[in-house]
Amino acid sequence: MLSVPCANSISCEESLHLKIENNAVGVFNGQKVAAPNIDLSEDQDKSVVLGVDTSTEKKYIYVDLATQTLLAYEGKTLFMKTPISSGLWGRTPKGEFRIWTKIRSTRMSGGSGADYYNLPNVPYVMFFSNSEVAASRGFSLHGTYWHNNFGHPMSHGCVNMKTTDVAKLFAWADDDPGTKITIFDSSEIPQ
Amino acid sequence: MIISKKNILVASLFISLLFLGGITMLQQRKTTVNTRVRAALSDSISPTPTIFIPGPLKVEQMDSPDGTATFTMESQSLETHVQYSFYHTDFSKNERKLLFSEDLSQSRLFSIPFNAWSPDNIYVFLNDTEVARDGYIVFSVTGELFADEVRYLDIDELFAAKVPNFTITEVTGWAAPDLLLVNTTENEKGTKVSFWFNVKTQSFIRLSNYFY
Repeated sequence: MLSVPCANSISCEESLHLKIENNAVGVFNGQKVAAPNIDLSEDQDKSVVLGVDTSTEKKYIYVDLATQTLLAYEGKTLFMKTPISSGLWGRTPKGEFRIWTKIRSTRMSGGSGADYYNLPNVPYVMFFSNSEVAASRGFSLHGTYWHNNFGHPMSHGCVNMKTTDVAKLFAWADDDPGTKITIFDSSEIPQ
Repeated sequence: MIISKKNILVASLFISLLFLGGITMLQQRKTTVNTRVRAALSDSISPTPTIFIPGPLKVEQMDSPDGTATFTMESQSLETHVQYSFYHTDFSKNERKLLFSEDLSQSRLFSIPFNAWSPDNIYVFLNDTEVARDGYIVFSVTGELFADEVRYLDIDELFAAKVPNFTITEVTGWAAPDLLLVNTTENEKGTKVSFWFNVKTQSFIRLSNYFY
C-alpha cells in the first residue's frame, strides 16, 4: 500500500470519530469563523419525516476534479449534480473508493503557517478509502461552513461541498456496504 | 271631364313612386358625397394610443449555505428599463423582507452566482453584466448600509480605483465570511494574480496563491 499523507495533517485519525463542539470558533486562512451548532435530535426528527430509503437501485458518486463537479446517480437516474471544492494545498486522491463510514460531525485540523486550519463541527462527513488510500488517512466528502467558493479547489485534500447539498447526499449514500465513489480528472481523458 | 276614382288612385300611386325615387336618389348622392369627403382625409391622423405590455416577472433564487435563508431576485422588463427587486427570506422566522429595488438600463443584467452567499449568511454578491463588461456588486442582506450610506459596493469600480495595474477576470466566491476571492490579470505581463476583497474595510489584499 502506497504511503499517502493524512488528509488532515494534525487531527489525522482523531477526525475519524464523531465529535460535536457547540459554540466553537474555527480558523481557516488566518480568519476566525463561527462553527455551526449541531443538535442530533433535529436529525432524528428529519429521518422520521423522510422515512426509510427502500430503493434497490445501485448508487454511484462521481467527482470530476477538472470541472470541480460532483454527480450522484441511482441506477441511471441523476440524484444530484453540484459544484465542489477539491484539494488546493493537498491533492485529492484519484481512483475508485467506497464510503466506509459516515459521521455527523468531527473536528479537522492541519496545514501550517498561512494555510493552518482548525475546524470544529465539520458537518456530514463521509470517509472513503481503497486499497491504496487507507481509511486511516481520513479522506472524505463533507460540508463546509468556512468558505463558499465551490467550483474551485480550496481544500487540503477532502472534497468540500455546500452544506445543504452534502446533507442530502449524507442521507442518501450508504456506508455498509459503502456507496462507490469515483474521483477522476476529465481533462486527462483522451478526446 | 269626369275623373274616376280609379284614375285618382293610379295617379296617386305614380306620384308616390316618383317621390320615393327622388328621395332614394338624394340619399345615394349623399352617400357618394360622404365617401368622397372621407377619402380626401389624410392617413396620418390616428388617435389610437400605443399600449405597452410589461414583460413577465422573472424570479431567481439561491439558498444560503446552511439552508436557513434564501435570497430572491425578481426582475421585470418595462418600457424604458428593467426593474429589479431583492428579497431576503429567513425560514426560522418565516419572514420575507424587501431589501431594495433598482431600475437599470436594458443593456445591464444582474444574475445570482452559485457562491453568492457569504459563509455566515450576512452578504450576497451578484454578477452585474453589461456589453463588453463583467461587473460585480455586493451588499448586506441585513439591510445595513456601507460607509457614505451606500446600499451596495461596485467591486470592479473600487478595484479599478485602488489597484490600477490589474484587471478583474472573475469574482469566484467567498474565501471567508468577509473576504471575496477576486481573480485578476496584470495588465502589462498578463500574470494571473488573486486578491481578497475585504467587504468590511473595502480593501484589496494580494495573495501569494492563485485560486484557479
